[in-house]
Amino acid sequence: MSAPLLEIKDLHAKVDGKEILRGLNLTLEAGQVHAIMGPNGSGKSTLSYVLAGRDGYEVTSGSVTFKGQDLLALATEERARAGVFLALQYPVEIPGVPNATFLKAAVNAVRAARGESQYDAIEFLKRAKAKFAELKMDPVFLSRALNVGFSGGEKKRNEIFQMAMLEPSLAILDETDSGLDIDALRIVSEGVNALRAPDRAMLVITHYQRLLDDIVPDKVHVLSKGRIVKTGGKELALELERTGYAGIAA
Amino acid sequence: MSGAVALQTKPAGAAEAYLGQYAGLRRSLPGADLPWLTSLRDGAAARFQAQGLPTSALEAWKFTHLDRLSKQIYAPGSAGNAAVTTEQIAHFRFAGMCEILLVFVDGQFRADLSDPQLGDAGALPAGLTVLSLARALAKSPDLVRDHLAGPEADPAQALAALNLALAADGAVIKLAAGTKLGQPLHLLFLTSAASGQASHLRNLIIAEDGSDATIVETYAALPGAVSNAWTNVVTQVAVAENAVIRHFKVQSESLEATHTSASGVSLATHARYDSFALATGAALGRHEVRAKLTGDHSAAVLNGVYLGRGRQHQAQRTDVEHLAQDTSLAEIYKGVLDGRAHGAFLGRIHVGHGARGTDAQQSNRNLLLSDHAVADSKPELEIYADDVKCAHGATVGDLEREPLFYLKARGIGEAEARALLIEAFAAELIDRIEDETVRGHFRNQLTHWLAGEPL
Repeated sequence: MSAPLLEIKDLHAKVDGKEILRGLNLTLEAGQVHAIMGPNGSGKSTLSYVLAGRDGYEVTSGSVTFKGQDLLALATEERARAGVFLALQYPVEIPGVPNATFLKAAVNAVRAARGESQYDAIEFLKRAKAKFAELKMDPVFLSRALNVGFSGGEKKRNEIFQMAMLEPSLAILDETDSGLDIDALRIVSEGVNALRAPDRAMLVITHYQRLLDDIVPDKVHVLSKGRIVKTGGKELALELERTGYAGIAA
Repeated sequence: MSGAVALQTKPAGAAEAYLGQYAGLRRSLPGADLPWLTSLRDGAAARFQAQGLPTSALEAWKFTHLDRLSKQIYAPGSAGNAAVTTEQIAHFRFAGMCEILLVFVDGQFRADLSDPQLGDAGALPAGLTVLSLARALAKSPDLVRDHLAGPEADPAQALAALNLALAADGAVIKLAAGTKLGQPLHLLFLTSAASGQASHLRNLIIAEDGSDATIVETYAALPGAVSNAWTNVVTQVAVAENAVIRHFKVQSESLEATHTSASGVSLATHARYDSFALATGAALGRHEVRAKLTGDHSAAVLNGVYLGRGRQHQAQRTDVEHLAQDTSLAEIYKGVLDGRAHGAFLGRIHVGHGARGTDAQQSNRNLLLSDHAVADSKPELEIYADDVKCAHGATVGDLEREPLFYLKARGIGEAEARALLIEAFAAELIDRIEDETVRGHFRNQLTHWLAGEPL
């Protein structure tokens, strides 16, 4: 059997001097979708930021191996170029940076790292418009400033659109379902499902079970106080919906 | 010089020297044959004599030191005879050359470099009058007579007083009632490599009822020229009822130069003044806008971006007086300062008695790209009316961490991410310019500055 795509071993991490992750272990194979569920404050977002390499998240011990290399040794942008993608819970609004300018810079940075050719403006726009249509987004958002004036659903769809353009091998979705109505949720789920591929793994972080009706996971992990306390199949999410976290996360 | 004068401090000695220039030129300045004008100029010279060069002790000049103007005395140049090629002028034109262009070199109008239709009144759009100030004073002084007075006896306006005394040229633009210009007017003020040269320019923009125009002023050195010049400008803008003036300015003078400018704007009922000023050049640059909202429902937009590196000093002052009902001000100034550059923003808002329904919003944001760059910001609010909305805010800081993380998390490297965000910080205001050609022109200026290229 080949090495897993992502292997997290005994990970401890601090934020503002406070230990949030306390010995987290997780193995993710290519082609799989894992869900991470847990109550507020259990460390879900911290895990996603530690994997993406955000400043202020200090790993004190443990290891993260991604495609056989030490992920923690890489800078934020190097992780993205190596194939890690984090869909943010709260995508940032950046006035003055057009969505298309931003994404063309990102796509070409990632393509350069893979040794692929650079997209020129025309080729980029052609591909971007096709992906936009798939996600039922108005092409006008391509020329607008990044996420400025986008509704909550549009911001999340824009994250999925970026993911589709960047073609990562590990996608981490941090509470992508939060704040979405039923229609937006379906569009996002369809977008995610369309990106499932044998060489791509996904880590779906969510507080609620409903997203997992549409994005069916191979495994469900329960995170509590910075550790995985229970792992099961997709039926574990339904169980949690009935019983709540209290019994497991105590 | 008497012994008493010799004992004076250096700035006072400099003021004497500038007054001496007026004494020498008084009989030969444009309009010297017009008694009313000579009387105005004498009065202005007397005010300058009483006030001297502004010092940073004055509230309106806080943070700005004009030592440059006393260490060296800048003298008005002889008739603009510098050799300039049309290629050099083309460098400054808008894409598609869609504008009506007036060119001034070293403070003098150059018909040979300007658009040819300017010499032929019939070729200009109906209702538009465009003249150089020198020509207006020679041919139709009544056109400008009511608009040349001022400034009032305020020590902070001493350079404007000196300007009135010494003004030799400038642009005079008049829009007859109802005239709507489809193309922008571009006033291009260039300095040659001559050292120590002063240009005292006085521009008049007279917009009669219901007129509508876009006017762009550009101040720069001739391409390739390093010019230790002083450009001292006063632009008077009278916006009559229901008229709209969009007024844009680029100050990209030589990095050796000194640039001081003051725009005086008056707004009648339902008049609108929409402005944007970009400052990238000069060793010392100061841009001032004084707006009087004297008509009900008049509205002013005062936006600006100032960029500094090295040891540049970029100062902006705005002084807005709300003197009627339901007037509005929307004001955003942004500074990007690198190296040891110093940015200063002084924003006064005055809401007079009875100016009910005033809505005034002011913001000043500064991005410091180096530990040695400095930004000073000073709002000043005086409110004497009830039922008004006034808000102001100022920030100074580095790039925000969250947007930087977002860009890097998408694979964009640190340097490129920072460049994108710095450009975005300034471009946010430029992107609000409706005219596509003018907007493109300002975006180009910004891009060149960010790339460290000469403009």
